[in-house]
Amino acid sequence: MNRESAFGDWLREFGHRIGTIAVDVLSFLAILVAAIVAGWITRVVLARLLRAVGFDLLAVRTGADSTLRRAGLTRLPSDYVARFIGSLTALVVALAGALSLRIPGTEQVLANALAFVPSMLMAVLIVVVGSMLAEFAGRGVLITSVNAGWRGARLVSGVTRLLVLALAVAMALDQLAVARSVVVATFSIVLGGVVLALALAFGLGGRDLAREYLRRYVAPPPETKPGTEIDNQ
Amino acid sequence: MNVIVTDAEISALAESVVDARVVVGIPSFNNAHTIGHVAATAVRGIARAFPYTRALVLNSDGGSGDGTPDRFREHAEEARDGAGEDVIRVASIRYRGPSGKGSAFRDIFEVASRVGAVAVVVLDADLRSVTPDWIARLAIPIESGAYDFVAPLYRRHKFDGTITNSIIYPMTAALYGGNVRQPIGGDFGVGASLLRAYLDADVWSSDVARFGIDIWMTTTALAGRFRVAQAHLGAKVHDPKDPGHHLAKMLVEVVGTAFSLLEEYEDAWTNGAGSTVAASLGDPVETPHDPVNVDVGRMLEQFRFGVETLRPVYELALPEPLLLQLEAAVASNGVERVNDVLWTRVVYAFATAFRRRIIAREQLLSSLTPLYLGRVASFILENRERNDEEAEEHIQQLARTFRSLRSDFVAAWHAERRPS
Repeated sequence: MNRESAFGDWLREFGHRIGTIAVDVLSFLAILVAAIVAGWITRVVLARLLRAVGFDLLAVRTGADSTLRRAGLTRLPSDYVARFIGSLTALVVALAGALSLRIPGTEQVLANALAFVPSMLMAVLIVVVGSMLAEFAGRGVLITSVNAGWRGARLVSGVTRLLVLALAVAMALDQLAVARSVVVATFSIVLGGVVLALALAFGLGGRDLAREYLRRYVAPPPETKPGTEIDNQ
Repeated sequence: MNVIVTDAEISALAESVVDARVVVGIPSFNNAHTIGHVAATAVRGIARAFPYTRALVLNSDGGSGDGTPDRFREHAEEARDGAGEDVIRVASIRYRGPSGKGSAFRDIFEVASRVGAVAVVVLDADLRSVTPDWIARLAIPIESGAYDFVAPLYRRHKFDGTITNSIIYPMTAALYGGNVRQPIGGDFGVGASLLRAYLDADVWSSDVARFGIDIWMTTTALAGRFRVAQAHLGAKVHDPKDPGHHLAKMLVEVVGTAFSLLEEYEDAWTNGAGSTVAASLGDPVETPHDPVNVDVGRMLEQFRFGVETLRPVYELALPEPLLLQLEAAVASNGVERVNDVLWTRVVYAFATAFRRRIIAREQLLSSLTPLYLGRVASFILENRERNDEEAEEHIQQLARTFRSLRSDFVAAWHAERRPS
């Protein structure tokens, strides 16, 4: 009787535990599905919303679109933003669901993840704005250099774009507290090297250009006979 | 915006002059060595065209440090000797507001309005070729009540005035009508009703007033369906342009203003250009040209370099077929030209990109420079052996091309852009 009773208790306990685990697993799966659905809905709605308010056009104007294409990312910028926010939503919903199941360690993981979110968002924002600024500055330098007839227009423009982008990435990594000292040291060395290289290049290679520039803008212009030069207006 | 005069100097001036039927305004900044001739010519022109008529010759100066207002007064008063002090008044004011021709014009117009002027003429202070006859030709059509706006019609070298010939004239004529040949000439005659419209406009603190007052005045007259004419003035010889004022900067300012005005006057030009053609008044004045130096090889080189290097920028503004045609022109090294149709499509595509703010507007306009040089080089190569009349006929042909592609441009202007 006792044996039967003990076996019965064990069986009930076993069934109860299996049932609890099954419920937890099913609940977790349901939460996972809900998280994926929430993320998907967020992505779809946000993508449509961003397109409706002209986000992609804004990305083209600011140069962010060109930066993405340059990096081989050919989808619409609104799609990337929507995917990112959608994934973030799915992650937060999944973690919140896991927390409600009281799975050991979940609370700590969630707390760490949530604490990291603001820094990550700020880092993403820095990179996005930085890429826009890099594109804007690079394009401006390219056009000005071409109009000035500088043969190295592409190089100067590329270096400008790279420097601004590198600064943004360094700031983003600093925001994420990723190898701060290494990032700062690396960036300082690279920036210093580039500035030194440019100074040498312009100093040694651009003497004639500098002389011409000073002659044209600092020295008084020579007397010109009226009407002998083309008048654009 | 109603301009309210608060400046004591301007109020005092208007009160002392009381009334003047004709006003000649001369905006200036550091023009001491040329303004004397312009001032004296203006006085003589008024005395000849409007004897015994109360008039005012007004210098609106931007704070010159070279004694421009003094030179103005000396020469104007000397020329006035025979005319009588109480008939032709002479005054110089320091204009208010941001520096630039627009602020100088506003104060001239404000004073002219307050003294009841029927006709206002504005002349550049650096003119060397101005004659007393200019006053009659610009002011009499206004003073007689026949017209509201008289634009200048200069005799120019076939390769002079390239921004006007390549962009501003054909585009203005095609979109607004009127066929005004020199929309950014700088010397105009304006009547009282148009003067009021100018003063009421909200542009006097904007970039339009600073950089593009000439094209704004012409466009406002055409878009507002004012009565517009143009007067033959002969050659325009003036001081050499500031060598630091680069072509790209000039393009950004002039073409940028013209494109901005397309937005402001969208209703006027998208609903059909005015059908009237501005009458050309007076007999053409035959004057010899100074030779013009042009370096076509350098222009073609800058065109080639620009098309090859700025492709990523052009891809945003121009349809691929236009880009391919430009590249074909580059590859042929001037044999295949930036012809009228290609150039018209390029200008219209840039205007559309400007409206949509595809990229920063200043960058977009600046990137037009190499293509513009390609067009100018093509025009020069094609007209090198032609005389002035034949070259002028080519410019008229370009204006007709702008007109023929107008409906495509209107459609593109209104089309929504969907990035793909």
